[in-house]
Amino acid sequence: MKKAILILNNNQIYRGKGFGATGCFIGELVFNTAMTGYMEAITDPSYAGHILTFTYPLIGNYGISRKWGESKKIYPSAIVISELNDDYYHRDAHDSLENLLAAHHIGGIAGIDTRSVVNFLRNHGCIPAVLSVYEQGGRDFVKEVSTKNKIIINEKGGNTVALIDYGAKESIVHALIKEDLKVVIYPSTVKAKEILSDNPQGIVLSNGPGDPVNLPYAISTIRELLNSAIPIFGICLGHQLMALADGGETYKLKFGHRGLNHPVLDIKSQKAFFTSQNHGYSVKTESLSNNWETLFININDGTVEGLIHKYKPFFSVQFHPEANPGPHDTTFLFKQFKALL
Amino acid sequence: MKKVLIIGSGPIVIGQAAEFDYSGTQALLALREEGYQSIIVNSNPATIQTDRQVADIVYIEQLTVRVLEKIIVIEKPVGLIATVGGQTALNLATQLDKQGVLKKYQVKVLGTDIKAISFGEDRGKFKHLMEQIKEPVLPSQAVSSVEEGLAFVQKIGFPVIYRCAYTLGGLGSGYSTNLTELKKKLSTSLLLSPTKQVLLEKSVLGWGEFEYEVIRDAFGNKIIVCNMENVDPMGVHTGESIVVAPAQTLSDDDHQVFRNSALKIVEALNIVGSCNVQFALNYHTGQYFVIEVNPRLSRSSALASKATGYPIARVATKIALGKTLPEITNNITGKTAFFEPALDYIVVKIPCWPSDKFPEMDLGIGITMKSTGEVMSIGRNFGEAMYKAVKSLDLKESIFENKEKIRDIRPVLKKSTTSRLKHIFQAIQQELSIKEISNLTHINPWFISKLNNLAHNYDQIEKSLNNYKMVDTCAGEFEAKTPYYYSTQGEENEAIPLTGPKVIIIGAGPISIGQGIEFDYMTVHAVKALKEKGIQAIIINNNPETVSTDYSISDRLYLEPLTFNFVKRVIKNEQNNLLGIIAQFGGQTAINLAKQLEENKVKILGTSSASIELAENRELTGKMMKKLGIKMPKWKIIYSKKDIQNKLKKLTYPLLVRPSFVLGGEGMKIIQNKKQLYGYLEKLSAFYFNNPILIDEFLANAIEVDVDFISDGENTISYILEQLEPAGIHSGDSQCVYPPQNLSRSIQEKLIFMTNKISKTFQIIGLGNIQYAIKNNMVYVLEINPRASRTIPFLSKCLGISLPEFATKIILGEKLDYNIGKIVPNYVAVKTPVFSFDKLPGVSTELGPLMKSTGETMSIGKNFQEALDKSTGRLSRQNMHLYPI
Repeated sequence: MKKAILILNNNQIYRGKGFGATGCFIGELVFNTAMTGYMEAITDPSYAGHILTFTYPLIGNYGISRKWGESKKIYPSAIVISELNDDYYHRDAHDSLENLLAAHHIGGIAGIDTRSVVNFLRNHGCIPAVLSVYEQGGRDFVKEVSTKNKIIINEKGGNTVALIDYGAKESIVHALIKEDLKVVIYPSTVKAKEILSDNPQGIVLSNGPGDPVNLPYAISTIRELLNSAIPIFGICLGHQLMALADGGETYKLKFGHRGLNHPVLDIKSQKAFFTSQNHGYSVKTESLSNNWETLFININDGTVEGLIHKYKPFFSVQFHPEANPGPHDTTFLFKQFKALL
Repeated sequence: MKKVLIIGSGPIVIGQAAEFDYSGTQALLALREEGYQSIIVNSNPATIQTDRQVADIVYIEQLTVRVLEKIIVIEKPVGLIATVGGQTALNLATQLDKQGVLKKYQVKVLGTDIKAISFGEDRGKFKHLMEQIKEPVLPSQAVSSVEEGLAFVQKIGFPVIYRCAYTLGGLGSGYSTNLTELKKKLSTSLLLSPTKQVLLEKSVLGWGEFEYEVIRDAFGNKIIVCNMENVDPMGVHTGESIVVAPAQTLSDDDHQVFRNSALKIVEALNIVGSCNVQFALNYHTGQYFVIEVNPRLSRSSALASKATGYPIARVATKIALGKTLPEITNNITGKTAFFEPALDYIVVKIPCWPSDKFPEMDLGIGITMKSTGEVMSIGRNFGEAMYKAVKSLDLKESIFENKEKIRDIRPVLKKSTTSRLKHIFQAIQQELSIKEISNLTHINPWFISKLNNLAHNYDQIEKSLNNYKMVDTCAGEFEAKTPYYYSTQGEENEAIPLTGPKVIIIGAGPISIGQGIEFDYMTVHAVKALKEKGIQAIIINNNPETVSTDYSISDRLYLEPLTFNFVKRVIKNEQNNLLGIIAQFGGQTAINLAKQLEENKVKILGTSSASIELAENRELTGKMMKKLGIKMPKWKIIYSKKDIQNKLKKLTYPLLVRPSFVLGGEGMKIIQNKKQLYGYLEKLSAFYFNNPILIDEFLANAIEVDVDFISDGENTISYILEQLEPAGIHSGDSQCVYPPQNLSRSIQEKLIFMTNKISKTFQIIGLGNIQYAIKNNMVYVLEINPRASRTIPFLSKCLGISLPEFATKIILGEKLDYNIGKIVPNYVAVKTPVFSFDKLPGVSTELGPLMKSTGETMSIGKNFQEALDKSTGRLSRQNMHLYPI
């Protein structure tokens, strides 16, 4: 479901449902009082650069038709209405207004009090506004940032590691090459079967954006990989996904950990390290099965910063051992991973 | 000063209701604004237009050519406006013109002339004119042979309607969709026809129906005030159809085709004023036909005025006086009246039928009107508006969710009936597809789809209505100050509470039999009294026809359903400095609400709901009467069907059955024997058993008397109205006379004495009514009504004062003004009921305790006989004396 925020240049804000294309749209906010003719209006080149508010509250009733177009393009930068009608019925209509706007990359906001927008504009005059249309929860950023194809790097390296790319930083690849490993990078949507058939000696789960629970396909792949005995090293999002694949839970931190000075404690050695961090979610330790032990904790707030499997060669960290930016204090973890292979 | 005569529409009948009081009142006020002396003639006393505050010279007389000619002779008006009094006024003007009266006395028809009017009436002339201006009308032809008929149909295509001329009851008439069928039918029809002629016409049954309200001035400036779309398809009279404004399913090019056509038509007709044009549209092909024009103010124009806030009758009247659209000001925006309103909301109108009252009524709806009234609602989307309109109907059962299941809903859906909306919701519940429901009902799928959404979220709508928005004719484009609001969801509340002392008056809702225009009359008068006292008046009502929903009447109008929740929300919004609410002018609807509101700590002004309860509860009333030594017929109360056996033994037949908390004798019947009683109670719907049912011994052949009274709780003034029909016939259906003619002085004194006692004991503050029966010189109390009765406007006109205004002042705490008790009317007045039986097939014309009349006329004479003679309209011009009030 799309959401939208309309922000007027005087800090007035309207929140509503989004429709059409997602993105940010800028224009002068104006209103039109016609009760019919929305198709003609939005194809009128004179509306270029405007965000167009329809005062009539039901728009889209009779769909759209090429014959009503005043040009071949949609000109307003965005549309503001009270209620969008997808159920259109008209003998000439061949599609809905929503589809037309999406196809032309025009965003819209609906479900707001358009009469109060008009009252504002009448009293204060037309002013610039920004409309942001976004997909809440629904948008898969991981898929967007991941590699689309399998890539092989450092072909001459010793052992082969599979790196599942949920948004991997270059430094992870460099750290692995530094350990003389051949790196095969897979898209985030890769199936376990494909990785296993390539016979890697180890698997790295990369960092990446967003809420891990929105990645069911990644979780199910990792769940299958956990059934094998191939060493697995999870970093950041990879760490969270590994926990979820084992049946654990994650939660959203109030404002996340983002910085280069996050102190973590190695539980076993009681040694402390400064780490580079960038994450908004964390693993609930109590949600994990008995197979896991905590490897690191955050000294500031006690959240879990690393996990290790009791019986199998799996471990993970919430921080970024590859650094860049940040301290290089934990790069030894790549050496430890290499040792498992 | 020059005088202009306006002809009113007469008594309320089905098809001609309060909308003409609204348009006539606006027209009269416009005349005054323009510096003319206004004369109104109307036989209906319960109209605001016949108030001296509105018109300068008022004749309450029967609407006949003879009466009008006499008035023209006396008053010598320079002009006549015939377009604000419905078909009645139009017909009378046409008659006056034909008989040469207008020419003889040099009275000019102002506004649209007689010739243009005749185009609206004469199908042949109209068709010819449309052909001349190349606007499509339904092709039709009279044929004398099967071959001729088939050749014609070949040209126009199926389906067709065939009508057999000069046969009774539609014999030999019908609808045909194919050649073989038509061949057979046509030959039979031709045989049946005495003229051997059959009229064939293209049928547009099931097409979409649209209405355009147009105004044109004498200089040819034209505007479309509003377009409206009938939810019900062609074949259902627009008065019987659910209507939305503006049209929802028209693209801009569709709309512009109709707009151009409507403008072209009013130009060709040379309309000077308002006109309504109706179109039929084939949703699938885009083909359209002009169906008819109404070259006058109408029910639709009243709806359009209320839907847009544009005062059509006021502007049309100024145009009739020679003004142009651009020079007339729109009072709302302060800009020109040459303006086409932009709506930023959707309006829904639903008709109300008297089917609750007449279970035997044929429920089919079609090309003639059966509905007595209508409700209107406004929302920011279809669901909101529809939900509020349904709530305004105040139905006895929810129609969104139906308990009863119809085994085969499909054939039911095919028929247009008064329950169509309910059937659509039932079909949605039974999971018929939108497409199928649309195919069966011929209702555009857009509406079905919206009703489908409503069926799934109706329970959330009411919670979401958190704010009020203004009706401003311009979608917010200009700053407006209309005191006209509706509830909706939104972030901004535009109904900023009024400051200073205020009172809310609850209106009476849609016109129904038993709750007519009289209550609207009283609502408007209560507003006037409040304003005089410097108190702001707020009206809540949902009837688009009336004067009370003209936003210029009150300080603020909320167009809302009259249910507890909606009224409570308005009260909450206006709670600061709210002195209380007035319920006694809103008929039974408002009285029923008062009780609930008082329980929720809302102050009811005037008679308290405890007193109302006391008067409506027979057991308490009975005890009280015993204490006061006042006789009542023997009675029992039953609470369920089981009670009949043991409770009714001691009563002697005939008996009168009467449910409580109902209006106009709903469910009332005189019962002759036990068997009949069982049969009747068995049939009575469970709804009536929610409240106790009274069974009275019926006093056959008694004289019935209505006493209306005004009281401050201490002192009372009584007005005795003598019924001319014997007891057993509902007082609303009985002719009555004031002052009484056949009651002895001692009986009258007795009645006054008893009324004083009862009103004081019951603490009735404001207006009330008691029904008495007199038999063998004994006076019995039949019914105590702790609210204003429908005869108050009639009485006010007899006395020349406004009883509701005096009552309102008492309600606000003033003492009773004794002077109004000293008024002796100079005339005798007779009130005569008017019925609409011709519009209600299946309903028995026999009169009884169930009220059946829709309206009333008033006749004034020097004596009883003259008043009675005038009521029949039989007096010759020489013998007829007119008494302007």
